[in-house]
Amino acid sequence: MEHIILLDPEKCVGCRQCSLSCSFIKEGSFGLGKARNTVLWVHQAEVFVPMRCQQCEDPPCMDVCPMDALTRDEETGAIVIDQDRCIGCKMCMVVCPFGAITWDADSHSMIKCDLCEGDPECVKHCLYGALSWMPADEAAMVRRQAGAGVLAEALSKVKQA
Amino acid sequence: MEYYGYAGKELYIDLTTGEIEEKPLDLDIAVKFLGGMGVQQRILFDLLRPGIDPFAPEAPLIFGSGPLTGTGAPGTPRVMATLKYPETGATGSAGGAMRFGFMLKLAGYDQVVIKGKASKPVYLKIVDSNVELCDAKNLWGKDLVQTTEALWDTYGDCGVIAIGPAGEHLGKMAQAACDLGSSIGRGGLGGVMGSKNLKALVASGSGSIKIADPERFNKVRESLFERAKRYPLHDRILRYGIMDNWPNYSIQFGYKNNRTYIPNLEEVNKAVGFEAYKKLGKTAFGCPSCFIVDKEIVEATSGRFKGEKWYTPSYINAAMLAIKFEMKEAGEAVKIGDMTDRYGIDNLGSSDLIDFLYTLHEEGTLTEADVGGLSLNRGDIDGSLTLLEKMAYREGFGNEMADGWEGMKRVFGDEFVTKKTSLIKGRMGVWEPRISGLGTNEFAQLIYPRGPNAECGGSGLYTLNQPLETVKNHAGRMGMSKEALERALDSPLKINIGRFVTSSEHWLALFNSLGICNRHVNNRFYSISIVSELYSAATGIEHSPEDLMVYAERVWNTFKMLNIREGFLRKDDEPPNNWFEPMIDYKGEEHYIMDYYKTKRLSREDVDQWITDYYLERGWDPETGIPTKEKLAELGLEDLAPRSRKKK
Repeated sequence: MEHIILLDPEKCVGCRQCSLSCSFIKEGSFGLGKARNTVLWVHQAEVFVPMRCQQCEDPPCMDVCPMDALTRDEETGAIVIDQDRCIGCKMCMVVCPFGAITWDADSHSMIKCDLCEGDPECVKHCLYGALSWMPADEAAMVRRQAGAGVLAEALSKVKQA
Repeated sequence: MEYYGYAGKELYIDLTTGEIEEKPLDLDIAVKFLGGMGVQQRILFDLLRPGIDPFAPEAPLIFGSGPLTGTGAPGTPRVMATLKYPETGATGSAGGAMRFGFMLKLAGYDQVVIKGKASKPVYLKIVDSNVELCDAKNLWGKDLVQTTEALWDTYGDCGVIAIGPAGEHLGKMAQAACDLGSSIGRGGLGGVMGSKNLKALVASGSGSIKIADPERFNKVRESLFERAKRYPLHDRILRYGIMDNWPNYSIQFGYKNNRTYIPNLEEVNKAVGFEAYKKLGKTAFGCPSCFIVDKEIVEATSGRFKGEKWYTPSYINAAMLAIKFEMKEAGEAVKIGDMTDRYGIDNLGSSDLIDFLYTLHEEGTLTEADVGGLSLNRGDIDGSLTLLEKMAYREGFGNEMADGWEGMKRVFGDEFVTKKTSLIKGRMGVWEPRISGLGTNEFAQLIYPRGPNAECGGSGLYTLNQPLETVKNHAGRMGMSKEALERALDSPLKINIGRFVTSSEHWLALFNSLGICNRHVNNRFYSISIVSELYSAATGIEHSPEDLMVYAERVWNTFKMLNIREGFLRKDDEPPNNWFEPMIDYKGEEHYIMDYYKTKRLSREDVDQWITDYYLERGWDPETGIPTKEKLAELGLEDLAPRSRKKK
């Protein structure tokens, strides 16, 4: 069964262990710049937004790549970069609506989330339930359940009124 | 040169000339003093001219963090600021958290050393190696929340340390805040920044922290994660933060006017305590790397201040002042908490000071006319807000309040203020031994060189009545040697606090130097062997647990020597007279200072003896409190010893 990383921004508290863990497994050092994911504090909304490659079904990065360097790993569902084919034109970075592909100036290469071969490090280090790695059909159920909760609360207010 | 654990660079900023100099981290100093507090203490020793006015342009101000900050070790966001404080004239390292120290490391810097005074308001921008003093014309006059939000708007996801109007007006109780979630620098850090025309610091970094032995580091880090996942109180702490400890806190902090003890009364609990807190709106947020975030934006959900919000490290601070001010609902506490933070005033210090004024008014020794017609009615929330405003802007009587207890002594006389308060080194304590007993926190307020503060006692006996076995376990965790523990337990009162507290102080010095959060839950996840493994693996510099304790002792002795040089001696460590007067509760019962286990009422002689024991345990002269030459030599600190004057 295909797995996905389900995000729940409401549970994200900004600890950034997802980014630190990503940076550590991929680069052997701790940082945010080279992490394949990111957490941004949006103070106007008082919320931390965890962001990463959504492994889109119809990915603009794959469409735009002139070298066909981006392909989908059928096993994990991740869109991965073939560094031998990549010419570093950065067009994928331009078209990604989530800023999920970035240019690493040190290694002179594009970097992005590859789902850690189906065992994502970020999820393992999220202690708050903001990230979950689960079968796609289960994820649908989880979202529906959460949606039902919101609706139930609204309905109970209507009843009280 | 490659640096591991450390970022590897230091910034030296001269605000007078605008000069910005980048230097490689002095590894000799870093190895000897660990980082954070330790390194800052050593730098301050060289740069601080003894006896200098803390508001003088040359007075240095150092920000930075430790070698574990920026790594993924859980709970390592600590940022430290080291300076001479205007409230007390003492020096010390203030701790904060949130993103600033973390971002500073990722930008490539371990420390930022600031001196001088800018000719007009500026803020310091550090975006990777792009370091600049920027015009703060549009920020000056803004409150702390507005300032921080404006800088977030400009720089996105960055770390900000900022001051409010109280700092701009050189308040001696003005502090700063890190990313609105963590206050830093009680005792006047805000005022010192204001005196330098420095409105804020911003840091943002895209770099990374290298680890000398990733595999070894990872092993320890993963074991901490495994423990965190199994931690049974995780959910409760996320929900309630340190308010979870309300049954203890409401006893420890439930007093007013230095004499009246208000225990955990049901109505207090319902109006402004835990029950009221549970009904507030809450948005959790926290520091980078934390596994048990407990900061939150609280929102009043009912009453006059419905909809008011407050970014807070913990609602407990508001609850403490709500008890003192006799507030009627949590919304009032949220409002006052938010306003003290917006002004950038230390809310514990200012609430003690306002409590003092209310008390004088209740006793009939101070009229509202005496303070320019301001309301002095306890419980009048608008009156309290006006007092804070006047204090922040130094208007009318607020000008005296802005100078803290020194201002009060100017108005009421030294003797009178001393009689009415429990000042230690010119400031009020946080921990009240007539209620809690003289545990590590209460006792350490006397001998803490910086003056009494919340972190006093490091992590000894935070909560009431811990069984001796728990205390012994914690001693082991802190790296206390068997012999030291035996000496500390050699007491008819089960524990000799004077001797025990030396280890608590070393544990605190270690956290403050390496960049680990000192909150009690985080604190208790660490042990000296874990700290030693993480430090050695991260930096490649091998320090055994035993070594680390010596390093921590070195840091503490440097801290002490700085304050000896400022003229602080044993006389400044003496307990206040009021500790030996009773607190009286609502039933009229008297409460006296007792030992931690509440088996004996303590006399001044008892406390004095513990101070002597503390000095002896430390190898300091019991008459003066000065570290002996032998002790300094043992720690490799010969260069800090006072030099005898050479004859021509």
